[in-house]
Amino acid sequence: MDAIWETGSSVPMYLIQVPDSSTGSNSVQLLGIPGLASFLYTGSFSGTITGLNQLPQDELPPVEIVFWSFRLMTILGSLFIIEALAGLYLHKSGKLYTSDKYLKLLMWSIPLPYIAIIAGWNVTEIGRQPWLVYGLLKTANGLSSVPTSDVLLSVILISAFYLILMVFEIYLIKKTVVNATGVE
Amino acid sequence: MFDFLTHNTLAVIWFFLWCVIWGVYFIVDSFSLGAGLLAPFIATDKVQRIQIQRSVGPFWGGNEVWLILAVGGTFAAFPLVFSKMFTFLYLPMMLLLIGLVARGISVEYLHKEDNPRIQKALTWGWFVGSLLISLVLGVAFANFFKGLEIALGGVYNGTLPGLFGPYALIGGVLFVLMSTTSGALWINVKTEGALAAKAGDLAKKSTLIVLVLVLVYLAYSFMGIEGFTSNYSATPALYLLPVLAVAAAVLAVFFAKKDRGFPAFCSNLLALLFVVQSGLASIYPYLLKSSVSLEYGIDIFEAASSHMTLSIMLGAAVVLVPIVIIYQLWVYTLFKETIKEAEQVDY
Repeated sequence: MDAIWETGSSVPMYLIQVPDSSTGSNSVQLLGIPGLASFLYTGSFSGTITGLNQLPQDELPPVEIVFWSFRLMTILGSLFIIEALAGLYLHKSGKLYTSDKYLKLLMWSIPLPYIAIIAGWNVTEIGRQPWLVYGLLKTANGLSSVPTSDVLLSVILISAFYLILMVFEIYLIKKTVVNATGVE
Repeated sequence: MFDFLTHNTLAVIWFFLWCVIWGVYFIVDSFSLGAGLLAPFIATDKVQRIQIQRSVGPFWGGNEVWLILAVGGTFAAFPLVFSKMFTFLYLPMMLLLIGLVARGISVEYLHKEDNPRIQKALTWGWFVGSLLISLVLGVAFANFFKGLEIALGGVYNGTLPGLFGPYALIGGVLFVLMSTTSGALWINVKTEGALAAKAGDLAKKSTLIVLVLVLVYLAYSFMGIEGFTSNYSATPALYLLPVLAVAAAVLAVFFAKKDRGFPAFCSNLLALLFVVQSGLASIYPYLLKSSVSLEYGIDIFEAASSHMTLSIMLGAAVVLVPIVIIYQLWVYTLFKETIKEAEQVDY
């Protein structure tokens, strides 16, 4: 999740970092906060973290996807907190309902929580690979004997069904907004 | 203190609980499914549609909890059966899932949107969802009673069309019609005005059809399904189950004819319960019976979880199931008033 490649103690956390799994290192790492990564993982600023390069290479998830999904989720999460605080401030100063820019921002923020949720699930599900149950059962060994065509059919079916529901949901959200504001 | 609860005893207790939970699900959801099955046909206008929706609105979610409990209970008590069931019946379970989502969405959104096209689509969504749920479960359980094509080593040779044999189809249609009857009688009891009268008239005919189908289904089970009678021969007291099923179906016809909606409703539920239990009693000790050869089936002792899991869950079930029953009964008393022909929805 934090793309720490080499085992070490007092590991810093970099504010700007681009991991590259092909070289097993970060292609960019800037603005390290000393010992913070160690603290987050072990509870002590001098704690030791086992690096990704010291783990069995066939037991690593795709590092970049997990790394960026986690950042996408936390950045969006922070954005929501800031938006909420901004709303609180505007409410206190009585400008909440007249601040066009803020209200527009909120409207365009409607899809963001969904993206944050999906990114978060990516972190847990992809981050767990190649294990289905960590240390016990690999995903490849957990396959059922259901024919691939059946699985494909079910994926198409449920995706199509959810797509219909999504269209309906967007329609209802729009309707609710129009009903409440009287503005198209 | 609980030394008498050996692993085998616990497995038998959980089989019994499994039958009870599925039985409860079948009867409590039958009227919400039935209301959905009837909605596009007996409601003439929006007022009546909302009457139907309100008659099941506060209840359907609680009813579905029993399905979650039944499936979750299968997973926790008999994990082997859970994995086999969802592997063997992958596509039917998929249809069930879509039915559940469609039903839930439709019934909850029905009164939230005035656009007539959307109302129409949701009414039909409610129908299709309810039909999928009742048909798939009816067909699935008929197949459980008949046995799945499980060969040596637990290899499944069945096909999707193979699941829709005549016996399974009768089971599916029976469950759909019993749910429809249940829904009609519920609407009859729960609403007022023209809708209630129409539903009552419908139930007069449908209880008769159900009685005939119950007789056909039970006769087919006892005469045409291999191994169905073995438990009955060993324990003749079990014959009470099908006898009670038929008796309850007869009572449903009788009460429906006399326009006594509530006793007719209860009789129909009992008929449904005893039909299901007649089938479940026949498969013991198997959960997934094999139609190829009995010894290939998966029995409760082989499928049961560890002794510790079963005991912990038994403790949890003894405490929590009564709580669930109490709060669900409370919901029924809370929304006990009959639904008049008013347009507003106040919850």
